[in-house]
Amino acid sequence: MTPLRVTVKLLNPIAGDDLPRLDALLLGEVIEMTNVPQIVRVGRDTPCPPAFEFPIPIEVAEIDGHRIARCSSPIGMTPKWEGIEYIHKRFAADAVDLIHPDCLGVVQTKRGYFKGERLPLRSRLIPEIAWFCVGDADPLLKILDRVKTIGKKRAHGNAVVESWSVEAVDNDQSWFTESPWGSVLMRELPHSPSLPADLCGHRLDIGACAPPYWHRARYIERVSPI
Amino acid sequence: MREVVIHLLMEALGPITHDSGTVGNESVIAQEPVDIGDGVVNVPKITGNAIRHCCVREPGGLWLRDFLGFRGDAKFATFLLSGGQPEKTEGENTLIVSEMYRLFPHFKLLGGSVKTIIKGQHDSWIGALVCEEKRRYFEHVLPKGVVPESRMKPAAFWTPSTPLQYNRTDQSNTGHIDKAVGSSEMMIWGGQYVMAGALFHTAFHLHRALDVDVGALLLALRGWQESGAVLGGKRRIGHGRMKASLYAPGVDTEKCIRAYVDHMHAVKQDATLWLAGHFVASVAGEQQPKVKKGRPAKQGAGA
Repeated sequence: MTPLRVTVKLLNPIAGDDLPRLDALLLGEVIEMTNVPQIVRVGRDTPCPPAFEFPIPIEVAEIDGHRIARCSSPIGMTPKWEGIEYIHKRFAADAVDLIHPDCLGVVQTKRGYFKGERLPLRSRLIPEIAWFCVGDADPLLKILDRVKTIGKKRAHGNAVVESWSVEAVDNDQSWFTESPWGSVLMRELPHSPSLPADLCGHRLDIGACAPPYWHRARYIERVSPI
Repeated sequence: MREVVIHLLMEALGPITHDSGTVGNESVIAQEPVDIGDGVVNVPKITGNAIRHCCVREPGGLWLRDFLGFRGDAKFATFLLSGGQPEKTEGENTLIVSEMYRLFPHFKLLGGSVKTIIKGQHDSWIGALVCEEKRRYFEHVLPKGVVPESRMKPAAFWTPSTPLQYNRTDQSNTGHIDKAVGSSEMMIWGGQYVMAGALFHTAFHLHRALDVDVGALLLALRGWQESGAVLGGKRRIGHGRMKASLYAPGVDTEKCIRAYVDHMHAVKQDATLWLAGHFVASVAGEQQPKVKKGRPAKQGAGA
């Protein structure tokens, strides 16, 4: 495994507050490729599986008993445009022919199950996103070439991928990168004494350091890049 | 199982008014920012959400309704037309996911929420206007020659600077004139539009698809085309009509549709029972006579 820089070029805006993490993206694709979605399906109410149960072509290292991928947080170009989109949904009261005559009646649409939605969604035109990692270039690119869209609301046509590129770099910058002020943090890591003494560019918070990042069982005290 | 991308080219036969908001009493069409190297310009679009609903979810769902002859509760209507709503559950029910995928290729494509949130297996792309600003996009997503070069004009060409204007009614025939003030009480309304003749492109990316899944999508697209191929707003006054053509290399359209219809015939009974189990039992529960609320009548009042 060698130090690499992975870059994606996008053709249209990407949705959501956070940019996608490379380890989560790869893990998702690897699971899709195994054709067993129902077996590995994880919800908020189900126990979280061990980190990186399925192997990905990125090195996974252990820090304080936590298995963390050797890849940086996403680094996006300055957005060329930023805005809010809205996703709408409402109860189709005109679709009465779908409803059994016995079930017709007043439907409460101001609250509860049938309440209409106008959900705001942050959208940004970021032409390129990069990650630094330590991994195997060829299998990495083979998996990434399957990914045609990234980010939130992929099923609605956001962030169509133009191309992926994986290139070798001289230094490993997956977790830290050197600077005149010390080691700059490049991704979320568990807060532990094994972090470099001269660590800078970070803050302390609570969250996950391995996919699925949204699962509360993964939440620990960690350091995040500012 | 394979990855399938089906492209759809749509030529506007009338004005397209897929709006995203209003400014005063003028509507503004949905637009997407496009990086053209030395800046960003806004180009009209049809949102992926609208494409997904109008071209796939609604026509495919209505075909299922007619095929199964099934009517359910209001939750069924919501599930069929917008995928339902997440509900509080106790864990992820993989049995429901597996059964829904097996019985309903249409719902497998779109996902939804039936006691558990179920991921769909297809992506609907944005309806992108074929124009000069989007040249890089089309060079990437479509083989050369599929989009005619003659359509590669600036987006401004397809969006006239003079907005459409309508009145609520023809004032000369109604006499709805405020005599005291001497002005009309009718409001002028209208707004931006994409003119007839413009070409839009969208695509449907199916993940891990079987022939029946591709057939479900193609049958829905056929249903949409047969029902007039309309997208966007102001349909009641003739806007949004499209002439659509499919570009699906390597896909045998008829074979896939036949496979889907045959599959639905084979599972018809199970499919109806599955729907009944999820969307009728809950109704029976809801329609239990409710205990009358309010202050109980006083015993011996007035005594």
